Amino acid sequence: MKKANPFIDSIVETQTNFVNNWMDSAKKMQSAFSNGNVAHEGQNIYKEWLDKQMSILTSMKDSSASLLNNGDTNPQEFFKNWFNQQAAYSKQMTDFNQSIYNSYSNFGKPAQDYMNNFGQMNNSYTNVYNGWMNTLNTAYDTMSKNMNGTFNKDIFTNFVQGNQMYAKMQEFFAPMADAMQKGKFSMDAFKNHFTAESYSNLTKQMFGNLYNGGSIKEVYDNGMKQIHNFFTSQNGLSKEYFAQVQTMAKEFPTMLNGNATTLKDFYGQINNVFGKTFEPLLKLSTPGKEKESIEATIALMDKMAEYSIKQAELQLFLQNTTQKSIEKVAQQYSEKFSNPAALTQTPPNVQEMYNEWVKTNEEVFSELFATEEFSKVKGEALNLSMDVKKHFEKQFEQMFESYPVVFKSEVEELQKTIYDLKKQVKELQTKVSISSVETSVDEEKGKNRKK
Amino acid sequence: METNILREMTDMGQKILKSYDTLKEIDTVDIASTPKTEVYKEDKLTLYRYNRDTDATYKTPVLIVYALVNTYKMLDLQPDRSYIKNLLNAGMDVYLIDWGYPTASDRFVSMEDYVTGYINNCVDHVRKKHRLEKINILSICQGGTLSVIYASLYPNKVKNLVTHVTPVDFSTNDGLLFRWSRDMDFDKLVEANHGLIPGEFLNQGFDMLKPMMKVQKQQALASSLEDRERLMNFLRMERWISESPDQTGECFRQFMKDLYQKNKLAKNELEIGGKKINLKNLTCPLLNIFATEDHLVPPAATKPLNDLVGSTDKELYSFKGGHIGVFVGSRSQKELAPAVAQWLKKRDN
Repeated sequence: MKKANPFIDSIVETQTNFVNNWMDSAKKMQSAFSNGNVAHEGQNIYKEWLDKQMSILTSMKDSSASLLNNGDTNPQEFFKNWFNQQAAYSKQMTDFNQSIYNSYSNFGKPAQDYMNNFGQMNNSYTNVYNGWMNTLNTAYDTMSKNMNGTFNKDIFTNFVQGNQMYAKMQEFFAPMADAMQKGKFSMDAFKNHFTAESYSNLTKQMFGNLYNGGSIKEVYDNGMKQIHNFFTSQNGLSKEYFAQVQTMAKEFPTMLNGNATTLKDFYGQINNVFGKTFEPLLKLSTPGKEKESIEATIALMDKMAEYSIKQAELQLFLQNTTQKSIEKVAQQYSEKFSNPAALTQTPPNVQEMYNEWVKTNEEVFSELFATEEFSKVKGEALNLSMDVKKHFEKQFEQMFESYPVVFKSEVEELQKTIYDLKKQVKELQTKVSISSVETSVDEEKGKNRKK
Repeated sequence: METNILREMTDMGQKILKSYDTLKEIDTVDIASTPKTEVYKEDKLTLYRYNRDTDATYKTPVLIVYALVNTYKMLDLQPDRSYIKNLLNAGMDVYLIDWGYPTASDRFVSMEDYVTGYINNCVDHVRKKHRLEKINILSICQGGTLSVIYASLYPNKVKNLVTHVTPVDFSTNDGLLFRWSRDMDFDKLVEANHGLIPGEFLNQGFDMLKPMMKVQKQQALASSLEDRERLMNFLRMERWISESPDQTGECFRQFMKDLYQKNKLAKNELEIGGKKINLKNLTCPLLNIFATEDHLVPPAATKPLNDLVGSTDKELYSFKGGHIGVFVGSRSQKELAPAVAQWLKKRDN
């Protein structure tokens, strides 16, 4: 596919060459397996593949050298990212070749085994696929910096993310489609193949704005540091208790991604630590601004724990629905293609299944969103997140009290005064305007009477 | 299968590269290009009068009151999909309120300010300009709710009222927004956001109403990349969505609590500026348009208006389509504006 832009042409050509090289090597490897020569030929095939990859990369670098002066693009940073990604990509290729060997040596066993073995091979394909996409995404991220306007950049970013979603779906539907094409699909095998983590990752792709564990962890970590510093400054008041909290802090990632029951237990532990342990300690510590600040931090972390539990409940709803949707599609196709007669029909490809999944997803998620339970949990999560935000900002203001900065809460007082004054002025202006109209009318009437 | 994956890898990479190339070439995505003139300004609000090449054939000018959510530009998305242009072509003298982009200093602007302040001042400006006692109001969505309240307070200033996809009865569970709002604490939401509700927050909520819409959009984009006109149509809509203004806290608070949660307007219990709003005081002719597949404002929220008002001349118009399709769909260009124009012409004495 030729473009007007030679830089783009170069990338497209290199991509195509990479893929052709890989296909070529894969075919040779398959042939080696069939002939039983893999032990002898495997090393040579791999070396040949690697040499070809390096020559493709070198050729791209050389052909693009003249483009470095092209004011239209900023390729230097792009190439840096590209080459680093290619190194990672090459490693994945070696893993992939190894997994082909593993899966072929198990070929011909029942559906469950087939799914497991295919899964191993597919993981390698998926890793390579995702590795490829990561390469491109990193490169595109660099390229998009040269794009005019935030709006166009956003559209491009959204488009890349949309394609990532499709790549993610490959992981789910590819083994299913392949099993159907070979008449080996079973619903149970399919269900056992995927873990809660895989559904969680897919749900994150769809509802990213409800997964903010990273920022919560940051706040939590900063809060822990603050508490540590405070109690250390209070003559090591809480050394032994703090060690316990540090142990619990290591569980924090689980807290963000775990189920609601695990979270509730964890929250109970935190409550014991903060409420029953630190609280009495706080009574012993020196009163003052620092103590107030710590109390605020503890209150914030308390709220954050509550919010995280609610957020996990919400994520669980979504995750279960993601799983339901995929299994519904699998069931649909399984019923259609499970009997031998169906093998005469053309089995579905991944694109078809993806389209069906999109349609099914819309149905099941719309159904979920209309339930009272979901609405309640969503509302509670939002309300708690607002509490966390308010707590956080209040603490922030307390921390910077001694600095010459104006806070939003102070500005709000001013804004209210200005608003009230403006309103009064407008009312007075209206009254004056009406009054002057009435005066003119009266004067006009007066003139007419005199006549 | 492995061959298919490899094939898709190259196809996908090529699509992405193509999108980069095409998007890089596009300098501006133009929307709301129909010429207009600023005739009045107050705080962040601007009142526009659309330019006409010929004299208007309607005696009564029309004032468009759009919602506070999103911008009016969807009514004038592109030259061949412009509700406003269609109204101008029908012979109307068209005014429009552009609410602008509220900032933190607007956090205390209330529903009362919007209705008895901004809308009333714009109505008075147009009345004075044309030396008329009453003018026509054409309102959209939440703009319709505010206009209905206005027309109930100032029946002496409104000649005819046209409402499009306007929520009035919030007791229905048909729409997800109506369902979800009951479990939200709007006081917390307003306070935590310092009195300014971000446009992005509202957009996220709207996106969740159709969970797979974003995914479907990206698929649509992939097939539009080769066709510049189709791509521009897509980009114009995306641009309109991306330009959502923030909402002033006090107005948002009252709108959500008194209307969505307590349904006070339909029950004649709503108070604006200390005055109770009685919909029976709305006595002007009313054309109430609803969209049959509206997932944002379901028909059950719109249709009851005709039974609640005091008007004797009132009509309910059903348009087959969605909330936005009512204005930007291709069928709408041939159907909606002519129907509205005809209805107003009959009452232009």
